[in-house]
Amino acid sequence: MAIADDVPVECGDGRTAIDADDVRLDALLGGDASAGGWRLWTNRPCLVTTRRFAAMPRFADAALESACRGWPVFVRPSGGTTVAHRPGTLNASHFQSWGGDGDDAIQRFRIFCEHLAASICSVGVRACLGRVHRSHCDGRFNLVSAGRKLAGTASLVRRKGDYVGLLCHASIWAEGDVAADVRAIERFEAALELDTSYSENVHATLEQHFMSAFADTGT
Amino acid sequence: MTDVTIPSGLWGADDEAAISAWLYADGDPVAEGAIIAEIMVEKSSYELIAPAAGTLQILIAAEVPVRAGAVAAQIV
Repeated sequence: MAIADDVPVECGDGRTAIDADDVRLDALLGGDASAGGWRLWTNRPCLVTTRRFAAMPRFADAALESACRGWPVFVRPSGGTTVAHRPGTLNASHFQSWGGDGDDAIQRFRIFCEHLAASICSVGVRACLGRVHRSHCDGRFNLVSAGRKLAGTASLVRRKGDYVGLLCHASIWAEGDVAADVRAIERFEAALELDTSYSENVHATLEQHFMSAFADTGT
Repeated sequence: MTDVTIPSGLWGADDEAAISAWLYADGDPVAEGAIIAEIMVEKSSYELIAPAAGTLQILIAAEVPVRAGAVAAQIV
């Protein structure tokens, strides 16, 4: 089962790629039905943090220091904490809107995450949802395989008039050096004077999970 | 003076919500329709919109749990 049939993967370029999610949610709420559905994209190396962190007194200095290390920092409107983007990270965004209340938005977010987990299971890696102690941007809707975080997820609920728009987003580690990602996040958040301590060992890429799955089957 | 009220019907009654960040400082001028704060429920972000233009007076600080219907700020 594919995450999204016939949706090409865009190669993004930093802030523009991140802001495109916001623009598309606004377009959907503005009546452009074609803005609904999936967007799959990668990005060049950067950290993506939240408006909460961007409002902290040390943010400007911390972002500058991170950029000097090769990890420019951009701000997104969805929840959670800081995540890392790079070409080996697949971002999956999904856009939907409906009229009336939004009290089932979290249920819809959970369905989005379950769909991603099922898609990953269908290619041979057992994945489920749950928290992972000492993972970055932790939450109950992480994608998890063998106790290690495979993807972080977050959502944004935006109301416009009588309509509710929902952006669900996941950053899935496909391949590459996940330990370097975690270190970059940890250094940035330490510069914000946040008391965070992540373990590199509780994160893994899809590629690592594939290798483990193949090893388990003896192929 | 216009109350800025935590909206209802956007998350379940059992979900714990808190203002994660004010995007304007107390005393800042705000435009009607501006996103002035975000409310976090688990890892879902909800935007709080200024219902009028004026000067923001924050009544509920960031990181404090909130309930639907509470007056989080006033615009004078």
